[in-house]
Amino acid sequence: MKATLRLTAAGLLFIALLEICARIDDGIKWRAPFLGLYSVNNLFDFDDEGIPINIPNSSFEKWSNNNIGLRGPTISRNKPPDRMRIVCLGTSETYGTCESQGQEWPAQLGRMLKEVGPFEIINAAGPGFGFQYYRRFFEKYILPLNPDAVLILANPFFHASRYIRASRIVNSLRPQIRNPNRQRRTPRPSLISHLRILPKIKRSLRQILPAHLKRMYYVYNFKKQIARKERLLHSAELPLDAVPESCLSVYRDELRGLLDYLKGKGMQVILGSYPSLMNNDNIDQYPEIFLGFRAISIEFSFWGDMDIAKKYNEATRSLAQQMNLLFVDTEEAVPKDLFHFCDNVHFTNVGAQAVARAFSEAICQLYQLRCR
Amino acid sequence: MSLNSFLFITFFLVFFFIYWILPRSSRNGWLLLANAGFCSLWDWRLLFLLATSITVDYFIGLKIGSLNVQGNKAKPVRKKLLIVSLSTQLLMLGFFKYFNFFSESLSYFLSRLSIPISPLHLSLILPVGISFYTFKTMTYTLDIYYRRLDPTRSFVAYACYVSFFPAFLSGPIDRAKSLLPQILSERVLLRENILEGAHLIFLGLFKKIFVADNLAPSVQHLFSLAHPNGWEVLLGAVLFYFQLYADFSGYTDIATGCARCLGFRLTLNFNLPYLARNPVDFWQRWHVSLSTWLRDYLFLPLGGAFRTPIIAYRNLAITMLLAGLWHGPLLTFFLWGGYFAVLLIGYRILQPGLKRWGRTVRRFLRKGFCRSVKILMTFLLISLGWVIFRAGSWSTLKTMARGLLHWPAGPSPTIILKLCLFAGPLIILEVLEKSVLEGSIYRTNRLSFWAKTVVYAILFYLWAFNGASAQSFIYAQF
Repeated sequence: MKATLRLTAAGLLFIALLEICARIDDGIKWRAPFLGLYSVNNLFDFDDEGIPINIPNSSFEKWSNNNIGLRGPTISRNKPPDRMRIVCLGTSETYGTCESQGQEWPAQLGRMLKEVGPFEIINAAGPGFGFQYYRRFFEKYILPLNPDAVLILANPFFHASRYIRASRIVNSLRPQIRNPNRQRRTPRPSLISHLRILPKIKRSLRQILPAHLKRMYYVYNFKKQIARKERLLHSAELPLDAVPESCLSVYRDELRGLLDYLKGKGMQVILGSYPSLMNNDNIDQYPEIFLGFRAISIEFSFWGDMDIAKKYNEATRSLAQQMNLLFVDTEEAVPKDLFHFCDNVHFTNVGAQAVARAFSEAICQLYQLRCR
Repeated sequence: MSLNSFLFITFFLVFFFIYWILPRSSRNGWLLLANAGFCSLWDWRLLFLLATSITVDYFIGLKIGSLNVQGNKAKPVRKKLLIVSLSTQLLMLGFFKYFNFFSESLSYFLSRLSIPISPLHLSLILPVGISFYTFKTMTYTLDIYYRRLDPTRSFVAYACYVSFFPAFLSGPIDRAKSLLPQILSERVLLRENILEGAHLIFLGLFKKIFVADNLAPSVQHLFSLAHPNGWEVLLGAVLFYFQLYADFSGYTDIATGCARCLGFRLTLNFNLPYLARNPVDFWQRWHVSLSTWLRDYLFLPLGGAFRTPIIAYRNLAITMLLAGLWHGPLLTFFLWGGYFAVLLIGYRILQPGLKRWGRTVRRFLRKGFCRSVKILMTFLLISLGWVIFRAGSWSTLKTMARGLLHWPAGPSPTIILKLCLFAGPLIILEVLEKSVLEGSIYRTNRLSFWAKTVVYAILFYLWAFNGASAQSFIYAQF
């Protein structure tokens, strides 16, 4: 009995020590506070108007927001007179998810353009920044910085999913979907989310599992998630195999509205097509990645997701032509493999470099510069 | 199936539980089956090679053993049998490991003599562990021949000895004299053995995952620089020294730990080599099972150091060059062997002078200071040897050598920080274990149960959550 108690106490001490080590480790590596919640939620919030924002001067592991709440180094609110400010609008793929610190495509673009002119690249993206927020976000937070040009990499999957959700009165997974304009609040963190050792244990387990076991686990897990979400949607018509024309027409109108607004403010605009990994050739190659993506984009099947990518990119291209704007085919610039993508839509360092290079060529063309 | 992989952990746990559940008489059979399973998980074709090697030496061992009792009359037959055994083993090793090297070398030399000939290149797969198990089988027949060992009648026990899976990939190269009696005797499940084994496995994983794998990217970076400077070469050498040590001794610890859990004691392979005071001392601390093998079965039969100094130097040179080539058919390994031969011969020549000089210096300086200087000098000389070993090609070696001519203001603080961060805890832990903690953290009485829990928690945190992505063991390729 005594020995059992001693062992239990030692086990508890062991776990407590691991937690302390994790906190010290985070402090050394990421300058995280020893006490308090330290999670990815530290980075993002909604402002009083319900616009999603990145919290200024916040950081979590490799991700950090500057004094204005934008990804990247500190910038001055007043634009220096000899500087050209270029703003990148997008979602998590632009904010940077899988890339190492400073390797997200706007950061790489900044380094590329530094060699050819007085450019300052501002990464104004945020994970989950829906297209519907761009205009309000831009007006409130970006316009005061006096940018000269805007690069837009709009996430078509978010747009299409939002459209489908908003157009159907269903028992949705997310209550806020029923009223998209409802002010969102960050959920209160649970007690377990305060533990810093748990995410590290998960990460380590993911590392040591053999690739095929990991794949099997993910496929099983995502299939379960998809089935649960599909059950909750209670709709026989879902998932869709093609994007509805009405959805595309809303996208065109919204994008045109945004572009008119930006042009009205005297901005130069460059539009980019949205790169994604999935295509007809590799659909069976990375099941765990595509199932993971489907668990998020639950309204569409694989074929639906591919249709979104194709038709939205086409819509963006034709709108750019109509409005005489520069269009960068980033979809074409990034090869569809795991060397360039870490999942269906997020880039690796190399993938981000490909996007940055494509945009840098367009900027050089726009400002008639000689780029290497 | 690397020893730091999830697959091995699962394999070992399953094997371990069944091993101790089975009746004593069936354990060797189960061990042999596990050995075969372990080898076939690498490459099932390896089993045929291994079976040939085991069968040949088992029967030759029995024959030599039976002739041993007949006295000098049977000596020529015994010698012939020994030659058959050694040549079979060396032919297999030579064919799989060195065939292409010798074919290319021959073609190169013939072309130099204006006899152009295209080299015959066979696409051979190097069987894992061949260098290690070949030396084990050779030990067996040689020891029987020299009447140091009686042959075993149990084929299963002998096969278990040669193919013992924890030590199959990279040793230690245990002598039959030491391991075979353990296999033949009955083993008992002891709490002490399990705890010691678990401690060694834990320590091995710490060395491999936290130290070696974290140092690997920096080493790779420093050795792939197009124009390294002196500091970068030196740091590359020191970092590689610690990477290799942590990698290899980590493997040995895991292997020894697994063996201990099964009731076996393997040979000590490392003993704080970075604290060696001279090149001779280094080889008594580094890869001890190989260095003693080379001493007992190559250097001493060649005449050792008992005749004239010139013969001793020749024997040393042959031994070290072959030790270099044992690692693989690369010019850099050969040069590495040559470098150590020069160090050892140089030390032998200078030793009397150094001793006299040391005695004089010690009158003015503290003993500890003199010892530290010796350790530092040896450490630097050995580290430079690792540059040759790691270079892999003549062009890299030339680049690194050129780097030594250029010494800018100071070394990169990032690399020094990495060295302190990853190698520092290892040195502190090992030196403390050897000098203060009675050889091992778990065994010492100087630490309370709770203090040990703290130490293990910190070490576990370091390797479980700060380890780099798993890489294969360096010595597994030899």
